[in-house]
Amino acid sequence: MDYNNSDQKSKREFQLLANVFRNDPNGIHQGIFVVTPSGRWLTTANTGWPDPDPVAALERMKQALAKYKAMPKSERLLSQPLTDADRITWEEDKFFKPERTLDLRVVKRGYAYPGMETFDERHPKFFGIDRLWFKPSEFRAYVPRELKVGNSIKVSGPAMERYILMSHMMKAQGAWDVSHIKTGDMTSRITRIEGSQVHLEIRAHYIAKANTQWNKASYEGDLLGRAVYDSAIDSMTNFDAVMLGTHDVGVLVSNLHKGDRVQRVASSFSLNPLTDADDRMLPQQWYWGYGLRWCRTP
Amino acid sequence: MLSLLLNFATIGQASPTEAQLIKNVAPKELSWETFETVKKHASLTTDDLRFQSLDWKTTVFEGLKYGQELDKPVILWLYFGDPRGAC
Repeated sequence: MDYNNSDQKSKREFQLLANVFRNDPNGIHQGIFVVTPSGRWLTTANTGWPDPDPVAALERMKQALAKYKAMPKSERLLSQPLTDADRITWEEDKFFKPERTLDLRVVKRGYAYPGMETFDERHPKFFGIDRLWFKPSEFRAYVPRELKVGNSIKVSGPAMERYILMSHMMKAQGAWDVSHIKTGDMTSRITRIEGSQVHLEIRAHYIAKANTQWNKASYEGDLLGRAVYDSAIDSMTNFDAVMLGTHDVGVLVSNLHKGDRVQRVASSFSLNPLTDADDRMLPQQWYWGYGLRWCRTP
Repeated sequence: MLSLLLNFATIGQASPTEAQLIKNVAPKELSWETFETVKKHASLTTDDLRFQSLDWKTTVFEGLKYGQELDKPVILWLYFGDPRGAC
């Protein structure tokens, strides 16, 4: 837990959380808990593994709610409400989305494969969600220099690589490096121009292979999509793409995988509607994949 | 780290689309003819979105503060890494 590594343990946010776990020999640890705003533990609500037991979880939550209602106000609430001064600051607070960044919602889901079990998050019942960002200096790679119907451009750099580097083409996450992209053949072609709206068709074929201590996986697949670039405002105003490919984990890891090494995976990329909490979270790889320098140099 | 005010409305629902998702077979190749089929498989289902219909706060701090304001217990979901992917 990041909390355990925080150097701001004197802040009330940390102290409240430490209080929740004061009787737990593991200290602050992962799980699903019901607590009071004053920092008192009411119950642990994660039940069932690998398949959660929602009936048991609901029962525990009901009991926690009853316990809460029976507590005097002085126990369930803080006498002095939290203020911003009590908040722990995190490195990610410094990370932000540059102006006019193409903000995509990524959804990915694997197809059925031999021997699959819900222990393994590659199971088709599970989806993956993330954000994919391209700042203006990156998404311009999709736009041919001369805006004329039929013109095309070979796309290179982050606009081509990031789909692989951020593991958007596979379930779960892998440690990918640019050198692992053996083929990244991406082309963007102008199909139509209406005023300042430049319609693009984007196609790519990827072959990736890693052979490191952390990643022995491989991938082969394609990307196909449509996008609209508005030359008057230098922005991408539409984007709709999918990837379809074959992911091989390379080595089955006992605490991650069940069944075959190989799976077909579908991914979709569309303008982020920013409708819920997932949509508003930073890209998962904001630190290692993007970095603070990235957002400071649009 | 997500937190949520205790709410029972949507807990315990089975996913009616799970069987269909397991039956889906990947097209042999990606083309404009197969685009929508692939996209549909990689889209959020009604059940996927039900989880997000709850008023999740993305930090423990926000959740505790909100719970204090409303005088309600808080669900804390603490994890290593990110809730949207592997640890």
